[in-house]
Amino acid sequence: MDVQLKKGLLEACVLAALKREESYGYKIITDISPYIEISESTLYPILKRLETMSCVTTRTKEHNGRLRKYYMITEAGKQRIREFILDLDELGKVYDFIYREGI
Amino acid sequence: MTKYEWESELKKNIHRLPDEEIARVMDYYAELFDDKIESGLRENDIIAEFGNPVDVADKIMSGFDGDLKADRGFMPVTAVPTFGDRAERESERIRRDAEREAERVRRDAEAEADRIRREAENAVRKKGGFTAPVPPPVIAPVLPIMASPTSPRRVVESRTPSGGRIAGLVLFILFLGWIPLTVAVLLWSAVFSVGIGGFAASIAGIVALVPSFIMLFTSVPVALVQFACCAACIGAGILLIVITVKFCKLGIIITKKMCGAISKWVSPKRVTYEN
Repeated sequence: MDVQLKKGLLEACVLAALKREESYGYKIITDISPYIEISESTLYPILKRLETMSCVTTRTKEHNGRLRKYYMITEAGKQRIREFILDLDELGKVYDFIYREGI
Repeated sequence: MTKYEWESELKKNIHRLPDEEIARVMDYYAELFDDKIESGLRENDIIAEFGNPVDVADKIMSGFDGDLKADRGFMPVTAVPTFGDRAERESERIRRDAEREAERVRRDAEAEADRIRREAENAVRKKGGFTAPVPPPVIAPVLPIMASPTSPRRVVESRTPSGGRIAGLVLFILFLGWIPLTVAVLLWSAVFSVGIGGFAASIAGIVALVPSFIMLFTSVPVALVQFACCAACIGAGILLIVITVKFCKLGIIITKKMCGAISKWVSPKRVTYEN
């Protein structure tokens, strides 16, 4: 998949992975990987950006004698997903056009 | 590459980030590592999944939009590659260069010390007519200056038989030579006697084994005792032979050294100068 196209999708994918319950880095990667390729080094800046935009918050919880960082989606994050879904409708029209004219 | 090496390399390449950001990145990867270990992956596989730490650092640096620490303008020591083929080649190159340089310095120092020593010896001999003790290298350079300032000359060493010493040796052999000769003959006779005795004992032990086997059919205890005696004879014989060989080697070495010393005495060393 094109890198620039993927960039925009990844953020939404991460937010979607956090929609139902809080999660942590490794779990986010394993949840998203079946749908889109994502690496640890790619996820880090995405999480950082989402945290900066207040789309996610973090907390640390003890797990098997060590500390693990959990990410939770915020209202801003949920709003972001909704905006992306609206963008997807528009993207669908563009996709049809490209597909129709491209063949 | 180990986890520690990977993390160290990552940390080196993000050193310009603020400290709290570096700590955050390291915690992120440490947590991921622990989670993957928990899920059953091996360290090597996890490192492979993480990828090249330099590439990872590049991504982190390019995604950071805060203020970076000032660049020191040179590659820090900690940024020298410490893993992989490049580090090994670099280490091997540094080691070879250091060895070559050390060898060159050593050879130069030895040649210089030898030259100074010979010049000092010759200068002192020429001045006083006797061979003075050679000064240590640290003050040796002073002596050529104290001697006549000469242009560099080639020193030639040679050994020439001395007529007087040859005559003395001949006289010694004629009148007193029988003493060392007798001692040598006695010593070598004793050594060879021991050797012959060793052979005899070994052969006797081997030969006596035959009736010992026959004795087995008539009297077993006697045969066993005979076997033991044969073994002892053979062992003693071998021991004597070994001792003889050792003494022979020693005797040859001593003889060579004596002949060498006599030869050097008969032909003393002479030093000449050639322009």
